[in-house]
Amino acid sequence: MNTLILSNLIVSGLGTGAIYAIVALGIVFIFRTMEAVNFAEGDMGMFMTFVAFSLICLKIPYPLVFIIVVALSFLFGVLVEKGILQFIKGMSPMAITIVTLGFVMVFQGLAGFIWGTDTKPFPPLWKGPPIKAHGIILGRQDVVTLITAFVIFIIFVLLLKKTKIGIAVRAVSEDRYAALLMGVRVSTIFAFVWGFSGLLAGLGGMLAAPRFSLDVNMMTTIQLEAFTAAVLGGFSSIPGAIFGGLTLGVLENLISFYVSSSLKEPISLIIIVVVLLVSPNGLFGKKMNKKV
Amino acid sequence: MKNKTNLTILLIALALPLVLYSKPAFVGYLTLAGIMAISALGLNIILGYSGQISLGHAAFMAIGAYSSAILTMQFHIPFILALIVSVLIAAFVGILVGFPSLRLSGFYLAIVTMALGEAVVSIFKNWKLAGGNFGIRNIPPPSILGFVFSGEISKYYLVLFFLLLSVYISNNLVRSNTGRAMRALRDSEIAAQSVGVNVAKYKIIAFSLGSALGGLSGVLYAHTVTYIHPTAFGIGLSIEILAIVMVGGIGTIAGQIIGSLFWVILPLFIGNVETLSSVIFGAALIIVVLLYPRGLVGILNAGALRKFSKRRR
Repeated sequence: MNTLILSNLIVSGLGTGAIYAIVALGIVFIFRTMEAVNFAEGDMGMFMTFVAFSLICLKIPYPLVFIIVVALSFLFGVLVEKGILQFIKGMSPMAITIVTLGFVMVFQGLAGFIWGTDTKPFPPLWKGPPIKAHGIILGRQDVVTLITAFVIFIIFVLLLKKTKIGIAVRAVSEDRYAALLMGVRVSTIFAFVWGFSGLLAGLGGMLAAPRFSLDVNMMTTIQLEAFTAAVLGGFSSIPGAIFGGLTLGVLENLISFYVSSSLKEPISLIIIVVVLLVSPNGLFGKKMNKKV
Repeated sequence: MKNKTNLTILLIALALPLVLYSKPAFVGYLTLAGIMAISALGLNIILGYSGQISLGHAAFMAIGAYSSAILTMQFHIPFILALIVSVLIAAFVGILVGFPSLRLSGFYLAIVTMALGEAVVSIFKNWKLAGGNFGIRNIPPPSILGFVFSGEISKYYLVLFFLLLSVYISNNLVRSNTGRAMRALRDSEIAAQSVGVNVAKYKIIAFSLGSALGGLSGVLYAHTVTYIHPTAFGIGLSIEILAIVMVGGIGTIAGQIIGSLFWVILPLFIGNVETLSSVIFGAALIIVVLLYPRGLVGILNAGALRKFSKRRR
């Protein structure tokens, strides 16, 4: 076994894994606060990536577009919560989950209706030949992805631990009603959570689009990988989602190189089923008790 | 009163092709609606009666469609025998999928069934005998004892027969002990367990029956559309079947038929733009969950009730 090949595989696996981790983080963030699974997380990102595509077509420089769309993604998430989800606060998490399945149909249909169902080119944030260092070859887009992921994770953790709104978010995810009684504006927190989740989705979409191609179904596979990452990390744990995403990216690369490349797709499915059946709380998750 | 309505609907369904004789394409749409209704009735047993979410229901349609196509084309087995074997295969896979539901519930089950559904699609994608990415073309039309169901109208009656069979099965199930046990476990699993309902048994029964109907629908789909390919049975179709169940009216039999008709006819009204109908159907799903949890059936029933109460005054 060649260590150079191995380290190359690990590094490029981390690049893909970072995308999974970003999307997984968005799913887990919503799950922690609302106990609902957002099946439309990937498609929110897909939709915003198409918005970015339109802005690029208007000859706006891409770095500027990137920042604009990240901001728009936040607003998009807030809009989804304030426009629709806030009307179902009293409903079961399962009802919210089914509503997100409706979002999947709406977002995919809208994107297909506006931009067409064919594949579009999408530029990388940092063009140019791959970077070589000590025999390790790394695509520039991977570098961007890893740096962005690192920065967003730091921001995310600082936000949750240090800021007032972060503490409020944690309070709401601990006990919604107790938080309400303590004077936390729960509806604002929900909007914030969906906004931040939308931001992560948009970020994930724009980072993924140059690597996979931009089309309506672009995020379907990535979202499944993100679910795997979240399941691996325990679904309610934020470090778990990050760790799960990065691990999955590396694992996929290693298995498709050393075992068989046709295993790349099924591997995440196998992980989901095995982890959920053997230990549903994953590596970092808390055990949840059923209530009557 | 209720029987009268049902009889009228049945008579209309039987007579419809005679009226639409000059429009075989429209009869074809109705056939497709019937096929989707069978599949939706299957998911309704799992989701509507037993309360177990499944996001991989299209995979059972794929299993039915592929096994029947392979059996009739590669092994030259008569259609009716292939149909029975394929339905049994789907039911068996349904039992296997039911096992995770014994340990998992809610969104975890949704994720597992979604993963299993995608796994089935990926198996058919990579399987040479199933035609890989290209799928299977030129599947022969159904034939029973020498009679070939090649025309649109004969296919319609064949599907109608199996739809009535599925309705009969669902209807009997609801009224039986099994159906009552299923609804008990839907309303509260722990409560059902505490009054002595064997939760594991009924979950498995629900999954096997529901999957069998999904498989049946797949068989009919393969032999009436005559072309199948793996990506058609992905998560997208599973979500659409779930939307049919919810929009039509979860836990009702009529709802599945109304939902399927809505699903098939909606695109015709907006000029066959698939993307736009997906938007409208998704929006319908959201609106139903938000405002009308009993779906189109609930809306229609409420309308009928209002009408009758007015008349009484």
